[in-house]
Amino acid sequence: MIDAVFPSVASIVSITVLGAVFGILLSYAKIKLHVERDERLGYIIEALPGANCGACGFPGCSGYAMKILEGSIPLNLCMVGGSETVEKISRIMGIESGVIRSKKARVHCQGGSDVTKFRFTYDGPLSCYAAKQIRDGFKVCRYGCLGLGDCEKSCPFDAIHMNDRGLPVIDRDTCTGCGNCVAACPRNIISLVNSEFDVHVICRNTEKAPMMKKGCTVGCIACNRCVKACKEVFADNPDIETAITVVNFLADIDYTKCINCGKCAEVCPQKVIEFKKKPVMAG
Amino acid sequence: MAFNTFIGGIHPPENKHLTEDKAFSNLSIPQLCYIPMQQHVGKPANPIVEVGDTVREGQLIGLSDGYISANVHASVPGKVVEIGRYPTLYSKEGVCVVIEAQGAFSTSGKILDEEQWESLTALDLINRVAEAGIVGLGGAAFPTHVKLQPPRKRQIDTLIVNGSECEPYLTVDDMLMQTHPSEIIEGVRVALKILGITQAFIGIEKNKPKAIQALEERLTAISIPEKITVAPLKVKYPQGAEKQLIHSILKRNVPSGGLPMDVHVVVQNVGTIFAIREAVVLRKPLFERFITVTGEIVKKPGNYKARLGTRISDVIEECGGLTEKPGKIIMGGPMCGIAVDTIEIPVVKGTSGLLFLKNEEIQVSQYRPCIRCGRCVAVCPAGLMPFELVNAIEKGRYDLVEPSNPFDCIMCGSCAYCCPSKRPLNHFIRMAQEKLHKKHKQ
Repeated sequence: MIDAVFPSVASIVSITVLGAVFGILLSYAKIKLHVERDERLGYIIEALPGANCGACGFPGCSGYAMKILEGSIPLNLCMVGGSETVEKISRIMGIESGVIRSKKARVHCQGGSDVTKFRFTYDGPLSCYAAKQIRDGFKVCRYGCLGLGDCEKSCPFDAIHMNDRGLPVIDRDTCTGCGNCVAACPRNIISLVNSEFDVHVICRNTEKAPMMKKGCTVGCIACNRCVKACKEVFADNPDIETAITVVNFLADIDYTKCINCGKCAEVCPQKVIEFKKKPVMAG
Repeated sequence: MAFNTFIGGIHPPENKHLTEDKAFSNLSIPQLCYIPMQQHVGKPANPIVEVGDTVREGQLIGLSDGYISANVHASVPGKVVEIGRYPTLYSKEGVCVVIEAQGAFSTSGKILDEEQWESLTALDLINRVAEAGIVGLGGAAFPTHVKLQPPRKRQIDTLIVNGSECEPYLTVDDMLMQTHPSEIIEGVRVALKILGITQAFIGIEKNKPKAIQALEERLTAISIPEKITVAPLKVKYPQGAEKQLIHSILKRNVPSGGLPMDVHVVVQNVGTIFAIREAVVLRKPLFERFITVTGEIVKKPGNYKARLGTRISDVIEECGGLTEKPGKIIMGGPMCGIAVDTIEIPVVKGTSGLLFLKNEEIQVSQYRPCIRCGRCVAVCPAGLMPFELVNAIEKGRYDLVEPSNPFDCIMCGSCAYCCPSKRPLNHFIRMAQEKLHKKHKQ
């Protein structure tokens, strides 16, 4: 009987002794090796959205929080959190923050697979980057969307989806303006635009109209009608001549002058200028 | 005797029967010659002629720009009618000098004087090679004068001449070795003198018995101070890849991220060796090269001598046309060649062949997920694990990609060839290489 009990007694005793020894060691280490930590760090990390998207330029939200505590970094870099987050952080830090302009990603191409021509059949990796390596892309247009969804894969917020025409569609409510898709697109088709503006040129082709028409039916033909319409709008204003210009056979809106009237979109024969009056959004 | 070979590799159908026994014939001179300024690895040459100039055959028209660059010469005599941007093999819009053929040919069809080169110094010889604008004619088109001048620190002891021609369909090197063995041996001797060494191997796959015989007969017939040996190799793709060739012949392993000169070897293609000999002995710049025009749909497949700058459309016409619309046109061999999207592309220095494939011969299908069968690992001659690399690339996990040595990939395509899921593995790796290059530059 004692033989059966003895081993268990020995193990109970040895585990207890070991536990006590390590416990004492750990509690000693906690006091001796204590690191002074700014308690604001935890609050800031909590205030940040926690998406770790990297839009602020630092490795993840905690990386940005640590840089904020070090100082000399603006508080308004978190595009994703918007003004709410910035306010919270400035309250924690007790400093005045800059204003945050909410930006949204915008696709500048409407050349879906139904309106564009292909030069050859591509059967390589399903990645726009890889497709661009093969003779500069399989579409005739060298500027347009390749439609293999690098942007969709890069979006940490699930705000981009490819439609059945092979074009990315950005959900404006979910888009936080982090800019990951802008970096992922090998054709530079996506850009960040201030979300106050509803008018965008959705073409990137800088070739003359006949060259452009060889590959796509919905590109900018540089007819200058938008410029004319814009000049009429600003006819009374001596400071501004026009907010839209045609550079390299492509319309270009200067958002510092644009008043969001949408006149240019109305006259565009190719429907290359998109104007969507949207309800006022939060953030 | 055990076959000389390397680890890994595949056995694709050779399909060399189409052009195997076709002797070289000359393609006629195209009316318009589109000569790209970029026919090599490195910086494009600078055009030094102007529109309206009359040029001689073989006149320098593009001056090498920088250390890794090469001269470009006029392939035909005539008038420069345009300097513009046209599609080339390496870019969609590359600078081309367009020459309209007219006037007399100064070198073609004549027997040129053979100069004595034995008394020249290595420096004179290398200058002649550089002036002639010679690049690697196997396909990579790396400037030869750079390759023949390894840094002083690197001791070179062996020259390997690559006559393996492991690419299916191509027969141009085979035919060159059969018909010009003495020229090749002279070229090898010139290259040996430039490198200051005396040992050379000519590696030839065993499926070219005539070439092996021709070179061996020639070597026994003449007495030369250099030690040149013909090394028969096992028929396997990619036997002609630099590092694999070195392993097959010398059993030396080029370290990861290293170059052949790290194991004291310089590798040159037989076509390049032939061009070196022409440049040094005949003072003839590189303005024409041998190409294989092949494919079941070509009416007159064969081995041809083509002027650089002849467009594919002219070549098709010269070869009797095609019996049906091609599904794919490839410049080079089917494994490592570059598929082209227009027949307006001119033949360049790196074009070893033109392959026209039928629609039935190509497979365009969507690839499927990796089933981890490991066939790619078994065949990879570089000792990589392609499936693991590619799965990481597909997920965007570049932190896992980098430690797996993606830069050791030689782009032979063996993995993609044997993949049962038809995954374009080497294309994925190429994409990763470019992305990582960009990352390192930043």
